[in-house]
Amino acid sequence: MLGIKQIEDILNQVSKNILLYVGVSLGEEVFSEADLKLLRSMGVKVENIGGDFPPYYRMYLLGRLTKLLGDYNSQRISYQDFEEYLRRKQFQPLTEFEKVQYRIAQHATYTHLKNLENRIRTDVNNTIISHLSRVEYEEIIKKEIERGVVERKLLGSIISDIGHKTGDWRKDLGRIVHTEMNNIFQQGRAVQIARENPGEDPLVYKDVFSGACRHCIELYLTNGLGSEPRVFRLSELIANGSNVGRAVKDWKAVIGSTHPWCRCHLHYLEKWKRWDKEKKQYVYDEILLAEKEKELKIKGKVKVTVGDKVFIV
Amino acid sequence: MLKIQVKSKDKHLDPPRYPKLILPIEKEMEKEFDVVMKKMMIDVTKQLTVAMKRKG
Repeated sequence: MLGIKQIEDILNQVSKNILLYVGVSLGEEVFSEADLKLLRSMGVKVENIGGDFPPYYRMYLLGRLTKLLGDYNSQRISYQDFEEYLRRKQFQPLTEFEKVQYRIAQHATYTHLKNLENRIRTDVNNTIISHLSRVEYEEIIKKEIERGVVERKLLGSIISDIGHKTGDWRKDLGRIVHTEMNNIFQQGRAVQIARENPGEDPLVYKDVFSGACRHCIELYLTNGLGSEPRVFRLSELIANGSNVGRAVKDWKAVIGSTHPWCRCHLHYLEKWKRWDKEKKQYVYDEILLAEKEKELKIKGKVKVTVGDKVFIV
Repeated sequence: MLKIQVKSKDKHLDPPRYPKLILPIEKEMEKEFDVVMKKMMIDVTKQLTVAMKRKG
């Protein structure tokens, strides 16, 4: 039978590949010492594995940009414009505080992907062990079976069984990607809201989709779908952290994903807006709008360049 | 007795707010995972073959 060392070598192949995926998606700075040791022992070079803009970082910058541009302008840019925006480094660099926030979110996502790695390792390990146990039994009671035949059968059936499990792993990955990428996207929006309101604790709310779950409806709306959103201070949502590890009954209103697959969208509530019951949205109050224009004349507008497109916001 | 299956409300799939911008990034990550899974299967098969030869 295969020994522990041989099974460990097989499981290390699993880890190597998942870690490569982690590095490409999040950037190599997330690797632990143990990850680096394993990858280097297997001859893998990790330097700049995710490039300058791994998908996770891109999503964060996209969150910031969409908040800066607003809904209308965000819908006018293409993905190619956004790629140019990154390539030409048209964005504001992260402040030290933002870097810390980003690293915390990045590490949380790393943990989810490491959990997936552990699950895959466990599944592969269990598959091998269960097949080995069965073959051992067959070898004992069916002496007439040629050893080579048994081994070929064993190899084929282990690989086939592992292959069948990839569908479940893919589903897990899909959930992690949707949830975590929404998380970092909303974090990017929150950071931009804070940037635009220095020294203040801005009011925010979540835009809840019509098909949203009852948890989001309760947490973010005052009286069911279509009702006025609950308004929070940004600091309150930041302080609520993440719902990961909390029982459903303890879920809180948060900046990022409230639960797996959540896409509720963080908005800044400008002080010049009021809730319109008929339109079921926040609209500019005419009297207050005059005040906004007056303030903007003092503060000035911001020029944002995305690729070749220029926006004044 | 007729049983009515209720789909879990927890696993709803909300559309992203800016699909043209968000979906390319998410799809890239999912595609990369599919590539990694294929590579992993090849590596595991190779390692398993080596281990079984050594065992013999």
